[in-house]
Amino acid sequence: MDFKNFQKNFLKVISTSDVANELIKEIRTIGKLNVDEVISIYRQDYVARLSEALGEFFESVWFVLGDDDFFKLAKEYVESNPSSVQDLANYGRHFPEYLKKTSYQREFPFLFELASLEQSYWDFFHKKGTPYQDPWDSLNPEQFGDLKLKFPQDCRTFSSEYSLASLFMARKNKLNSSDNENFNWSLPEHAFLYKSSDQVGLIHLTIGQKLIIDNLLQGKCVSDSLELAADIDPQEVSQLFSLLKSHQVQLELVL
Amino acid sequence: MEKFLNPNISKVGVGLRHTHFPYFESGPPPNVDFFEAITENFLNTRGRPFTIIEKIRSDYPLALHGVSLSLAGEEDPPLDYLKKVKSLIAILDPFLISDHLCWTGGSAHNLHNLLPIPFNLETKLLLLGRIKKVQDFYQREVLIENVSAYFTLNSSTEEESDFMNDLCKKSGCGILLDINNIFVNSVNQDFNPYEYLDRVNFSYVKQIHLAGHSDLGDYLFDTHSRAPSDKVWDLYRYALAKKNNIPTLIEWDEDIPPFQRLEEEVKKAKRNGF
Ligand SMILES: [Fe+2]
Repeated sequence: MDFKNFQKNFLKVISTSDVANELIKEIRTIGKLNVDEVISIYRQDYVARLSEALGEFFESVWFVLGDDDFFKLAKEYVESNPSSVQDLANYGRHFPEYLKKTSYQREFPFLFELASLEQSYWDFFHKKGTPYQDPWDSLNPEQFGDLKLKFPQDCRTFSSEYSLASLFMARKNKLNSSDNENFNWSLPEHAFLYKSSDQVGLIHLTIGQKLIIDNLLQGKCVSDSLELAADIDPQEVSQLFSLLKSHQVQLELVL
Repeated sequence: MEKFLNPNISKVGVGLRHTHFPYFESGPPPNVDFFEAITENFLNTRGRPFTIIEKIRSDYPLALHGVSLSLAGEEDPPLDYLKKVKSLIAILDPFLISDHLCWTGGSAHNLHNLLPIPFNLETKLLLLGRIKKVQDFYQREVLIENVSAYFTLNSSTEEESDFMNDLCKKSGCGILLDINNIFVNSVNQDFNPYEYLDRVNFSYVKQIHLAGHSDLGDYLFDTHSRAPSDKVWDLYRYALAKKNNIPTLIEWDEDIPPFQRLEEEVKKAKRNGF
């Protein structure tokens, strides 16, 4: 068998586990191992390597499901989604969609949203950051209402019927999977994910604050943005702007 | 052992791993001669990992070590991959560039593993063409590393060491000699690792890798999860007696210890493993 055919057969056997006769003839095993056993060294390594990569990118999903279920699911995903990337950090792009179709989504209906949030986190993480510059110093308070706030770095808001932001932060704060049983994930949450310098941060928001940011992101000026979030408590408004300042969210103030 | 002691101390480096990033940001300057980064980890990021590698590069020499070139793969390495590596080379100006003597899978199914190849004329011709193309594209010499192999192929007609010497002679590439891989293979495949070293033409050897392996009972597994074993250090001394001053890297990729533990291994390598 020439080497090209060997490679084709070898790749097949990694996913199907039927060892073709030609492979048996070509492979010289090591020690006391037989052909099945040496191939399974490579098969197990493949599944382990890619599952670990999924665990790294979707650690909140891992936190929710616990070790056994997460790695069972990861193995299924790896076996049905061969890698076509060179950089493992790009593997698992379809994992959030895949979660939608699993039985776990019934028990934890937020898995898809949570995985998508983690994907945004990593997308932001790998973008180039710029050092923070405080835009508030030069601000003339009288002109505040007419200002448009531009967000020059990556950011997005999100809303969920579930406690996505808290789950995400819990995992980032390195809680163990055993803590997930005490976790109340049934509270609706709104949040803002942003990049500032080299860090990616997350701010919990009220629904009103989330509306204001959405309006600002659409290019509306401050007074229009506040007006459209009509019922909002003035305290929430000032809290929002101090949060943006204290978290050093990058902003450009444009008149 | 005294006769193996080398008066010229090698440059010794460690792998750049993200678990140590917080240490690099707040700890004392790392006491190593150089760093080696996995090329693919920096192809698609301009975030914090990139800031760190640029900072490291401003203070230390850097080697770029690829794991996805798949030189013996079914298809040529993809052009977009080569372009990304080339632009990384332009930014980071590494003193060494390397990848492996292996294939890693197909373009539609990358196994992300370093898979064994047959050492015969057919593979050699394939590799010579590929290595030349890659070196021409990068405009740089590339080093090729011997891998751990849990099987060999019956269609091999040459020894791995002879095969690598010939590749270097005919393509102008160099050898990254992984001493632990030689040891692991010598036990698993039942050959004498000293005879392997005797066959290597050390004028081609431009870098050495040292790592730890695990004994799984039926075979040794190249885990990079601990310090090099005594037998690997013995082989290292034997190699240095053939050629001194070869940049040497301590590889540690699983159960990665605090950075200070790696610095101890660096010191040990500078004492030729004593
Ligand atoms: Fe190595």
